[in-house]
Amino acid sequence: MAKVSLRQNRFGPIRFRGMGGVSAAVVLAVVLAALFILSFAVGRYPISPIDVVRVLASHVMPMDHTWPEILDTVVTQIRLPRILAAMLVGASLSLAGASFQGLFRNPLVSPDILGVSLGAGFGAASAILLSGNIVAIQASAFAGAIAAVGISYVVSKMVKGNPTLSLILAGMAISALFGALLSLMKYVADPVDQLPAITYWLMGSLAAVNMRDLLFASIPMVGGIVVLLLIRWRFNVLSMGEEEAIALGVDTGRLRAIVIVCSTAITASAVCISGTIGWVGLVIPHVGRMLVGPNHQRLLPVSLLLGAAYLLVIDDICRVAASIEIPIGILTAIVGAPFFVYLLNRSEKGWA
Amino acid sequence: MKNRLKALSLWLIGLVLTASLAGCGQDTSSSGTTRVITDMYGRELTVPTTINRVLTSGPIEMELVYLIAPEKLAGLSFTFNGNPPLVPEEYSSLPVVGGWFGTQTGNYETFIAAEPDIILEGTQANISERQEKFGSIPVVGVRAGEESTNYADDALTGYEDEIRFLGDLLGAKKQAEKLIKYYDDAMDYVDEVVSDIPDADKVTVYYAEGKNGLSTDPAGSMHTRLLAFCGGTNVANVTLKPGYGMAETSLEQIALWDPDMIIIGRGSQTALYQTIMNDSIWKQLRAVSSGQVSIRPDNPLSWFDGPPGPCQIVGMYWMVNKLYPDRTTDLDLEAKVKEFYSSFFHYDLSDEELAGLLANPG
Repeated sequence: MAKVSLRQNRFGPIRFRGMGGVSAAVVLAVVLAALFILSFAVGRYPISPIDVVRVLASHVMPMDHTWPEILDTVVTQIRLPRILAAMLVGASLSLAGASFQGLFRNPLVSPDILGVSLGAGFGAASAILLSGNIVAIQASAFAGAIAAVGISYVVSKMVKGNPTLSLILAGMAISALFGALLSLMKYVADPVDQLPAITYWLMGSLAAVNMRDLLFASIPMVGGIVVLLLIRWRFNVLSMGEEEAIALGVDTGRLRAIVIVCSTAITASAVCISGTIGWVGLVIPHVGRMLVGPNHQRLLPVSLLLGAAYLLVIDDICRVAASIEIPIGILTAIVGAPFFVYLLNRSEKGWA
Repeated sequence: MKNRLKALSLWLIGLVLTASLAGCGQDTSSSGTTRVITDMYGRELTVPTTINRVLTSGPIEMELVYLIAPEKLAGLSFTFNGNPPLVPEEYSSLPVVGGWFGTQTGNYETFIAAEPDIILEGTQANISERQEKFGSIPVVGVRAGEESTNYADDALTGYEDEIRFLGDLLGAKKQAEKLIKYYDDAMDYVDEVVSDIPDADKVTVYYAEGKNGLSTDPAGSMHTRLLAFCGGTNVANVTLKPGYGMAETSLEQIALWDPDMIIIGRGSQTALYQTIMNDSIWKQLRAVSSGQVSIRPDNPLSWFDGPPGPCQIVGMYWMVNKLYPDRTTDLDLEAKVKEFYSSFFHYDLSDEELAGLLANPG
């Protein structure tokens, strides 16, 4: 299989030119690692960086417990799950976004194009209506997400013609359907305790994430991420067009199915632990293209790392900016949109 | 651009330094004496025998603590209403830590940084998450009731257990019993006045909220519970909305309901009062032309709603008197209000302040 380079495309890389042989992915990985460590020192509760290191180190090596117990709580119960969740969710949404944009050959596609968010919302709302516990709600949300995307996929298969276009159209229709079902659930929900629970779930927040949720969600997430990264070079073939890809011997139908399954699994898991977070899956892949160009071989890992770093920083701001929590979806747009416009301006070549 | 970056980085460095300095000041302060209690959800907890710093996850628990043992509050869910609020300065200057209520999500670290001995949680469904995040700080459940939520139907008449529980927990039994006495008297009084009023004779009320008065909460909403308890009929049959409530309606619809009385709730009350009294359409409503428009007293904590909490206890006398002045001629409302303020808001009202609370703006 030939590796197809699309570097002559108009999305020329704008940075890392003068960086010699150092790849963008390596730089980003180092930045992400630094952010990961720094994030532990960020928060409303004052802990010195030294104490953070001591608390973390005490989990790997035996140490005298010379600090107040509350520091353990802050570092391991409050900060650690959030930091991990922010990175995982950011990575998942960005990778799914980049994959879908490659699959559909459309830069305006976001990970929930096939109805995954609304399906998850509907699933969660149903479980809340049936008074399910938290595990039932998460499972039902995941099932709803898979169902919505599954139906979109099956419907698109029944339509003749351009498979990409019919998938997008089917996704729009199924999204609308699940959106309406979700509204129906909200309409019949008991307004005193069920409706607030549904609203709270839909709003999404990393504040309530714990290690148990994270562990469950990380299984499909990591699985999907690994598969997408392993097959990433095939996206380049896809992006040349249906006929060319088939001519090169790629089974586009099967590839499309694999990408949809993996992206859905990771997006659905992300939605299950954090609710719907907009802007990440749409914008981060564009930033990735500005850095390394449209070659998916490099774009996918870079998007993954960028997404993880971006959501981690945003969530750090959510944690410290005010004495109450700022909903993360608000900040991703407030910070993301101007930053995106800035990058558009800096881009050497035209965008549209 | 560069200067700004410089300023930002200086600010960040400052922030980190402050944070680390503050972090160094921590020391392990444990009184050593603890006791085991069973909270109102039946959980066994070890708490300090003497609790000095209390935080609450929401405003209703905050109100309860303020009424019973204000000196124990380490922070507020929201700032007291009124300018200036009718509370001693030492309480109005407490830091606001927020919490989990309405549409708001609290910040766990803000709470922990205020160094509370315990944290009170009023909704059973949330307690395991709170306890997990607060770690070694005991999270004490304070709402029994069928639904175990502060917004349950029986909340207005069911505070007695919570008041008693908190009195015991916070070492303020005497004050708790005093509040229960006032509470029981108020409920008995209202009961006596309204129990024999036939439904047809009940005063109908529109609860006007929002900037233009066109938001409201229907019968059955936690926000209008005091009205129902005091024998008023809520005219609004709109869809009940969760959280802060406030469903939209229209002037045409209000004209159709044609209430006997309008009560002004959340929002810029004085401005809304002026609008309702002077607007050519509002003026045509029976309630407005007959002058039956009232502002709910809000200072320092609301008597009616926002939050629908235990300060509704003093609101009981006010509401029943508002609705049925002819049936409550024996009531000395001013004395009851003054008593509540001095005993439970810990503030001696001047005659002027009292008049300001009870009167509508001119």
